[in-house]
Amino acid sequence: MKVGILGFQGDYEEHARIFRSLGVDTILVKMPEHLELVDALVLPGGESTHFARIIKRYNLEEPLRAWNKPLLGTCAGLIVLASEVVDHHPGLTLGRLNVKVKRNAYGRQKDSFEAPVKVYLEGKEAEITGVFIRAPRIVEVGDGVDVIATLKDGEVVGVKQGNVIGLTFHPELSGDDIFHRYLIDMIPTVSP
Amino acid sequence: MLRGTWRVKVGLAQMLKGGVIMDVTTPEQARIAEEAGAVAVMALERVPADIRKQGGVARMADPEIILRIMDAVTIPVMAKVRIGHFVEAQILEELGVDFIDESEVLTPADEENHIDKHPFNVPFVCGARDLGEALRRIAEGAAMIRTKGEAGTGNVVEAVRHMRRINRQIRELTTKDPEELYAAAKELKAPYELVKYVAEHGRLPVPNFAAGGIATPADAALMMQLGAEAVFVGSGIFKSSNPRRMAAAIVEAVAYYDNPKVLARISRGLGEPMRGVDIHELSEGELLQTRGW
Repeated sequence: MKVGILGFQGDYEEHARIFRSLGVDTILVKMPEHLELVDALVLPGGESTHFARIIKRYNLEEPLRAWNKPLLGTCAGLIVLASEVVDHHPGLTLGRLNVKVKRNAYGRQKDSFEAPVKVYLEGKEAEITGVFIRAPRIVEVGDGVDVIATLKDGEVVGVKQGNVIGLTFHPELSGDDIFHRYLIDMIPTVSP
Repeated sequence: MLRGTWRVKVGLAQMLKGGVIMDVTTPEQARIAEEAGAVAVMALERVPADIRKQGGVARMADPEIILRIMDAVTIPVMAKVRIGHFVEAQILEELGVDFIDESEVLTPADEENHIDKHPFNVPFVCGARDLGEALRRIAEGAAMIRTKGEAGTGNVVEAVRHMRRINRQIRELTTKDPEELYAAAKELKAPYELVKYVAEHGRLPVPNFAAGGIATPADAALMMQLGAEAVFVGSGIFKSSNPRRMAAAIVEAVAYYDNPKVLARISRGLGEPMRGVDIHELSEGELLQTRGW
């Protein structure tokens, strides 16, 4: 089993570190052919405008639209996975999550924050620390999308549609591995 | 809800990894940088090459210029303050700048003390020429380190020297016995706790970027292969003959720094890079890297 991390920009190393601590091998995905080598994929945090440019230029757009294995996007990763971005469009939306997002919705870096996040996965509830860096906001949750994480006041900060997860915050920065474990669990096991 | 925590400050630095931070002096240049894929821009009144040429006291940019650049783009905006000038930093924080560079490129305001960066909510980046200097800045609260290099020269030699030195000193620390770390801290003139962290982890506790003299895609990829986690390009873009293409090519060079096939393709037909200066032609007094301690 191998997990790919989109690896040309952003905090891909922090994601890789979490998978390493779980004993899972990772490779950096930078070219379309790398996608064939992995069983799940993470789109890390970074700058969504940069992601958009490189994904288009290096022919990753169609493969990422068609990719049907488990996906996890954090922050900038969520933005490019969304179906719609209001205001400042990054230049690409992959339409993998039926949500509308707004970039830098809490303001600039001085408004970046840490806050407790409630996580709802498989009927269980957990609390972790969310690190929000110039974070986007999920302003509309469409059909077929489940809310899996909220702030204390109920604001949606994590969603799931089928095997695709999107988070506005960075569990990889607080070292919480709950979503990384869940991503691995979504990889179908091959019967012997 | 907590703002300005260490994790939130270093977090933004983490998000910029693998990217290019470009010096810009106008909203138009900022938009060119964003379209080319820059992960952030550094808002300046003059690029280092012009500061070098024109001389005089170089200060924080006019807030008017910084605000216009902040309005023009959606990516993070950084700005520079003079070493030790904490009031310039207070002003930039008030403006809402996303990262402050306490920079040797500007004329130092304090020749003994750097800014105490802990009380600020906004993260700081500082230059370093060796590991001791990097750790002293981190102790003061810097959330990102960059090599000093020699800004405004278009000559990568000093950035290479500083990156190699820092990484060599990190490697040396990882081979030391725990009892040797106290003496290492004394030698590096750096706090023991940070020396211990580096010895145990084999890296700085904050991202380590390259800056100072990077002028081509190959320069940028060289710094990445030497261990930089991202690259600042100052005069190299808007002093080249085709800034739009140079900017896009350097962005791709950093993203694909370990892929010579990509590097060969994007390096073709970029036009003239900035002219550049031989370091040996600069007198001791003209060096920017010796500012700060």
